Amino acid sequence: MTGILLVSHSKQLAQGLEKLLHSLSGEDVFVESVGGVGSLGVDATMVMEGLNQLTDMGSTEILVFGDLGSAILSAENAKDLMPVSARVHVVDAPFVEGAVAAAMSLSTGGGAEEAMAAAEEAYQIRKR
Amino acid sequence: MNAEQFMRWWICFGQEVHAHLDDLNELDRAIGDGDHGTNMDRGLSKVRELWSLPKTPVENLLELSKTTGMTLLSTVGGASGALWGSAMVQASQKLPVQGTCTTETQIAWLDAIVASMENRGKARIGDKTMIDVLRVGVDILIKGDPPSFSERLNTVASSAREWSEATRSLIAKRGRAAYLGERSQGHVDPGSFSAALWWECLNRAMGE
Repeated sequence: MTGILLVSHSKQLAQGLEKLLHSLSGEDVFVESVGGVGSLGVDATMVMEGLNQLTDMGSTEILVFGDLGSAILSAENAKDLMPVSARVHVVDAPFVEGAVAAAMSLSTGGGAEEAMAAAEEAYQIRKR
Repeated sequence: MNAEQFMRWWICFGQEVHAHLDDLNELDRAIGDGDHGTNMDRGLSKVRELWSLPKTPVENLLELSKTTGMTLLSTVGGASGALWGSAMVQASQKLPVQGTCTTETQIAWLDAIVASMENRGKARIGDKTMIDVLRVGVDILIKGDPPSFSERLNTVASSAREWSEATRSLIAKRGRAAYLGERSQGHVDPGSFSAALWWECLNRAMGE
């Protein structure tokens, strides 16, 4: 099972996106959100906690989405320096659109690779 | 370099960051989120705490570099925490577990620290980041001219603030300041300034 980890400088922002993903693609997709509470920001430890929650739920692959550059740096650090049992992919995609594309792909039977491709593709889809 | 010099260096770095807390935050307010000084200060004071606990003195350089990195990773936050933290952890493999390290090893380790930051942050010289101070410094140490390491380190330490000042005219290519494009011109990069303090402290610690 593939899980989605949302990493934001603001936990509220990540949680809001988590709700959106569940409303668009159903409750079956594993989504976790981590981020700053009170003081905004993100670090590798937060990411690691999110990864652990998803592996505990049974995720064997995890797609990680970040809001700004340092969320991605923290995710890469967690991936390299704090290993978990799942395969972790740090995805280069827009935070909202990418995560939505991945969740919809997963909820319709897509695997991790397919969901990741859908997320990266989201950069190309213009809004107007 | 021995363990005592390593610790003196990082304690000095923490003290200097603390002394320049407002300057660093001020620089970051102009082109970032205004917390570079506060973040680095929080992490470096945790590093100091680590060594002040009543336990056997740390003499393992590899372990010192690694624990410094892990502490920064979980306490600094933001891009600086991620870059400094992972660099210190990854480069630690270059250091010996026992005794002092040779000048050659020290230089290879410093190079590995900066290379790790370059890989992770995808920044190069001229991007208006800490790399503008760190890479230029390491390259002087690597080149071996003048032959005396302490002379080269002196040069690096005494030029580091000028290199940081030189980021003022650059347009940011990496990090949040990059969103400002040309409007990032006219401001010194805060990460380059803390990097200059790091070089100054290394020079001081090695000289004592």
